[in-house]
Amino acid sequence: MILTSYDLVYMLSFIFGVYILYRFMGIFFNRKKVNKKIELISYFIYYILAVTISIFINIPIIMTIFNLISIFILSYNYTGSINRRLVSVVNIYIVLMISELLAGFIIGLEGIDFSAFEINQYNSIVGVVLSRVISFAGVLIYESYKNIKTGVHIPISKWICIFLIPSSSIYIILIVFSTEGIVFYNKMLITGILLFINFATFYLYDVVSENMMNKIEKAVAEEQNRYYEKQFHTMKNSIDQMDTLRHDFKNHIETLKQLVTIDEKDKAINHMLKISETSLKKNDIYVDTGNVVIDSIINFKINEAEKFSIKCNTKIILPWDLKLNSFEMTAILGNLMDNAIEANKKINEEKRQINFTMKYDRGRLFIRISNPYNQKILKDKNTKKLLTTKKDNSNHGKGISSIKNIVEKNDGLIDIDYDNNIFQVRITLFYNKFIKKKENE
Amino acid sequence: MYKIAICDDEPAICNMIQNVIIDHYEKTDKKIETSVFYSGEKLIESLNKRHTCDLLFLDIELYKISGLVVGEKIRKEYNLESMHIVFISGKTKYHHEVFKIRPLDFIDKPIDKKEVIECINYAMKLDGKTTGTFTFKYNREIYKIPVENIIYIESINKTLHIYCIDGVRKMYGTLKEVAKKLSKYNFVKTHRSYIVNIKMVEVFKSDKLVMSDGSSIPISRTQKYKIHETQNQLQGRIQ
Repeated sequence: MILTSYDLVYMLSFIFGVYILYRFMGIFFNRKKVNKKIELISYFIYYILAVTISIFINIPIIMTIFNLISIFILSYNYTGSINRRLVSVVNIYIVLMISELLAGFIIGLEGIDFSAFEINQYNSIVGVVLSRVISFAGVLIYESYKNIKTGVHIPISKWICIFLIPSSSIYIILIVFSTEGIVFYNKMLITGILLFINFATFYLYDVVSENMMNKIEKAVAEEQNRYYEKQFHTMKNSIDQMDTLRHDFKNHIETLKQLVTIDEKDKAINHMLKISETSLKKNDIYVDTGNVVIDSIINFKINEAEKFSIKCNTKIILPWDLKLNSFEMTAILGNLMDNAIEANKKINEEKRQINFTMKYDRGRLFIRISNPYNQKILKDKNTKKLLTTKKDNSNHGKGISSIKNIVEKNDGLIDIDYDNNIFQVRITLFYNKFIKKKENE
Repeated sequence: MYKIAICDDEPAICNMIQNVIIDHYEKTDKKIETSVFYSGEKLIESLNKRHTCDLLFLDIELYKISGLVVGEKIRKEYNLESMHIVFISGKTKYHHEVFKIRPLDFIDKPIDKKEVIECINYAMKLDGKTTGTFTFKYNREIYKIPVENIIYIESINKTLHIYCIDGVRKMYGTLKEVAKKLSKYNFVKTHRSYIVNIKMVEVFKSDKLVMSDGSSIPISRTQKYKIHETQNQLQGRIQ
């Protein structure tokens, strides 16, 4: 078989087509942790297979199935949930497909009337190039939606709508073009409308993601306010205590003076011991680094922990004037402490304990928290997410995964291990990445 | 002999720390020498006489010359990069300037005996790994340099450039061999052409290290996790 000039143009333009697909994947998935070699090879294999099939077989329904499966397989280059993959695959495919049809209409394939199940007879050089241009325009439109990649968890009900619209569009197009007796401009109109519906759906997907994110942010902000309020009271209490202490001291010194003058040594020493026992013992402030963000979160959580008679050992060494992103810090520390408290609730009271260390050293912030646990921590093999026996299962997993998201977003490291009934999380954050950029806050 | 200095303007604190050390190490085979300074000036006087120590307990809130100033002098003027400094403080609020001195740890007043011992053991553990001699040949001459003077080693066209506190030396060899020899002294290969003395790192960034001489060493993607992970494990005496 000799390759026609159409085939050659098709092969060339399809390189651009694969690039468009690659850009599309970049919209839906995070390309940060991708093995670039495997990614390149997989796209190359896809290219070879797609070109071969379209030149030698060229039956629309087979091409559709092949492309859907291939795009789905290619999506495994990236991390993401199955829901995300399905939405992306159908969305990408519908844009590519409609672009091809639109190109057909524009160059005026009058009486275009192919059957989905027979060999496609319409080969147009201009059409094939034009369809690439249109799909590239599609990529550019999608790229303007910024909230897609955030990885926010979208409720299943909303997800079904987002998934069903593009997938039924594919079906409608296949049927419309396989049905005889529909006039040309109607077909053109249907395709145009479908394209519009899909862009609109995608816009809604973007908005839904944004809303979900705002919701989460709002929840964290409310949490933060509670911490601050509590910290305010703790600080006020300690100031009040200091005032009382100062007042008492006058009296104590007077008493001591008396005792010393009448040479009552033992009584004087006894009195001094009493002062140090009562007045100078540590007050309600557990953690006092001077860093309001850290102090308020940790003190609030220690207070919570003590309600369940959990012993908290903390060691925090950091500059009080270290500028931290309070939103992200609240999410990380709040979730870490909550998990530790939850785990402790399930074990014997005398064994309950949380060890929390935070240390700043040479541009890095180390966070380490460990606690005993006595439950089956389930690790989902597919997603590597931690699940627990907590009733509100999905919620708990989200705690750890939101910590992970923040840490990874900031180029930090997180390590979770659990042996010998000790659950431990270690986090390393970098000042230049994590904190400094938020200096204007 | 492990030399420990204590500098605090409250004699009671100095004596207490000194007693804790004597009590604890009397029974062990570890030989420890302690010296006490009641002011920053006294300590500086001693440093001027080239008396130094392995570990220094230093009060931040010293009268006249603060612990911060003393610490800065130790690092910048006397170039005592490998001396461990543990700050003693009455408060738990620390200014970020204090961290530039690269303190080993902080202990707050009232002093907990256990913490003092933990700090000493941790310092000794680190020192067991960081002192030694590195021997190499260059142009038929044999060189012996203390490993704690090495800041980093760079491989340029099959020649290894050894950047030390007191200048650059050269040798022929592969970075791989040298990395193997130095790994027990807390040296890490960060990149295909760099080996770094972790103790000499001034700032850790996710993708590079800034060394005490100001040079910036890249970290390759493959080494990133390894370096920062071991660092997190080494960090601090609390497990």
